[in-house]
Amino acid sequence: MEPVSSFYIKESATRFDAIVVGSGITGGWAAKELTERGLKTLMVERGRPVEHGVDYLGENRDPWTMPNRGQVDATEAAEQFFNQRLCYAFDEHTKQFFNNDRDMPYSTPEGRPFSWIRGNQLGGKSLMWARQSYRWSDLDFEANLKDGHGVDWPIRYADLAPWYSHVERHVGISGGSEGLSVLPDGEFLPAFDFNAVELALKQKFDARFAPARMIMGRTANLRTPSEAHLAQGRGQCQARHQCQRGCSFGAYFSTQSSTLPAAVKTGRLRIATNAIVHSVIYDPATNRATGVRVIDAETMATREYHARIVVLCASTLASTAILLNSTSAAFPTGLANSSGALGHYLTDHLFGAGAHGRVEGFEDDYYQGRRPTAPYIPRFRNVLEQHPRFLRGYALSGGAGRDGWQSAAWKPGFGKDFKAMLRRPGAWHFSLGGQGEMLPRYENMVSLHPTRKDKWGMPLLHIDCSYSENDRRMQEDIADTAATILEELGVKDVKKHIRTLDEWPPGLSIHEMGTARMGRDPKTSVLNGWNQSHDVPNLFVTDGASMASGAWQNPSLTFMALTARACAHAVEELKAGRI
Amino acid sequence: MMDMADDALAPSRRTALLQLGALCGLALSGDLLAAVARPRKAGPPELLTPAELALTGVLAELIIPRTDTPGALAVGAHRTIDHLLHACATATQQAGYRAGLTRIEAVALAQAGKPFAVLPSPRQTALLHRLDAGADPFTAADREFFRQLKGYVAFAYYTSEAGATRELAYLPVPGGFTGSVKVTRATRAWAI
Repeated sequence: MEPVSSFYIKESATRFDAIVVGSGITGGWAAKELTERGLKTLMVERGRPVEHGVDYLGENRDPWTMPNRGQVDATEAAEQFFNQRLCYAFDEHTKQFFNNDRDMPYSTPEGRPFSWIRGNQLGGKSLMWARQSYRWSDLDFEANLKDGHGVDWPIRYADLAPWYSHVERHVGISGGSEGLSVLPDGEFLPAFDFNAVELALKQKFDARFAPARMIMGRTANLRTPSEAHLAQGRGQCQARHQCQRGCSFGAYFSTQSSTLPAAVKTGRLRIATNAIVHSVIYDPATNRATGVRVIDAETMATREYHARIVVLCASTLASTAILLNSTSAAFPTGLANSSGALGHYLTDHLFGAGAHGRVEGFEDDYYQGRRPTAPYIPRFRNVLEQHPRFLRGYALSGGAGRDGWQSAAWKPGFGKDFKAMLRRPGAWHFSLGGQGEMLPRYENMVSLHPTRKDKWGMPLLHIDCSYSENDRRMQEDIADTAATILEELGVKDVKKHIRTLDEWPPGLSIHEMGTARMGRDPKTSVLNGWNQSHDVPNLFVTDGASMASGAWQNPSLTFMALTARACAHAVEELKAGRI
Repeated sequence: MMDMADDALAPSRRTALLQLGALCGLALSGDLLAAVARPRKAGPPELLTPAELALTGVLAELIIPRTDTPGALAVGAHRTIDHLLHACATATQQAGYRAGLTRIEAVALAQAGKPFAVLPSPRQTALLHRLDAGADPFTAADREFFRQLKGYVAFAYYTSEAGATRELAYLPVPGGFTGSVKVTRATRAWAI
């Protein structure tokens, strides 16, 4: 196969069939689906090229070969990564995949911070995502309708189920089939193992807390690849659990490992990197998007690309920022914004509350390898009965491990005996942490800053997001309930941990969703049930911006299914001459 | 990797180090000489004074001494700590670290009339036991510093090549995950 770089372009007079803005999880899927369905497609990426394997600079580096043993230089972090440094995945091995905050800042109101974690390269955040992959269910798609927060989703689980299957088969999700209504099963590869303590506690949990269940986290890592995955050039997961550095085995799903090779294989994909989309070009005479205006990130030159449809996959907030910046007489507040909903109803996930403790016994049991996922307890709150203090729900994830040398910092002693103790596997511990749904609220919103601009002259995105009373009550319940569960499972010295939502501002779950929501009514939503603009029918937004609520599961698999479904629909509409 | 503790020093380096030791007022042990002599880490410390670096080295070796595998000094843990404090720590963390060393030195001078680094080994050990317990004349805050120091030394040691691969079990590419393996007398903790 020809290298990806042979498909890079800069200037082009071609009128493409489709332009896809962004190259992350959804951009890669859009490019794959559109090209495989016959469309000549241009992928536009604001960041630099990253070649699979070649540009994984932090991979296969032993800690003693790193200048700072994996830690990031303090001055560099303070000057260039002052927001990104808060991300758990940001370190000396991975920093090249994170947005430079000095070059691409954003603004927040005084006293209301938001952590916007971004990628800025071909592949986007697909290179360093956490890979947890879950279907949503009708508990989630019906939530807005039932409790009145947010508009009713225009789709239900049945609309998306075949598309979940479609993407799962290609991505490769390792996980078990469980028959749970809150977390539908899918097309899975074999699940990763529990360790001995987890297995024992899972058996207790399943018996004690039925119908809730402790399962192994479903992850986009190829524990046992299928023939189809091997044919993609991907290999088995080596259990390094250093995925965010990039994986030359292609053992986790990324644009580079999976969707980009598929799109390139069609011969119909072209890629423009270092191309910052300024705005979508709109033709009022035909009421169609006709292309995008871009700024060359390196030269500041401006140019246009043209196509018959435009699909925004720039990431939740970046897609919305592009629409807000695409103003015209017909759309003075942003393209496709006749509803006024554009920019509103931003959500993230609650994070940072849970409990942990010590497990006695099991001294003869250990494990080998670093599992790239963890045990998971799907939502149990507000499923069968209504909790008196909050709406919606959360998942718990965590698991067991044995103390390692890191315990030197809290164990008494020093010297030969201390060293001998640290040589052996330490005590077992078990922890659980929550991930909860934030209510979609109008006042959580983004807008373009009226005066401040970045070095390319683009207006800064102004993010105004905070938690509600419902969110705070849920956060408390996560810590309380995690502690109760651990105590009932026989875990010792159980301690709750709760980062108050003021200490941990929204954004750090990196599950930002909404701001160009789907809905049934063009007066209250930006997109219809096909991720298609109500106002401009050849304009699609298929990333997290389109979500009408955030549910409690990790959202990426749903973004992929929505993208594949929307692209199939767009191709049908295009071929039928309706758009 | 070379373990510098096992290598003979070139005579000129030995002379230079003895002069450095004399400047710092230290009676340098063989291990300390060897560690400070690591050619890849030559040059003055980045953040600490030479005396602070030497004290860090002595404390590091007391925390993780040489046994059947190299100790903290031999892997240059004190140099790593100096470098990481310089490169990756905040000014507050740097000041906190140096204040902690100053406090240990002050107690050594008050109790034994000599800098900590030149006290006889049993005296050093006895002081550290009191520090580890936060016992008089040390305070709870001193104990907190010692815990932090133990964390730093462990980080520097177990992320070094000898610490990871000779003292512990290092498996950079496990090849897959096995949920249950039995612990034997030979089992060592995973380095990563």
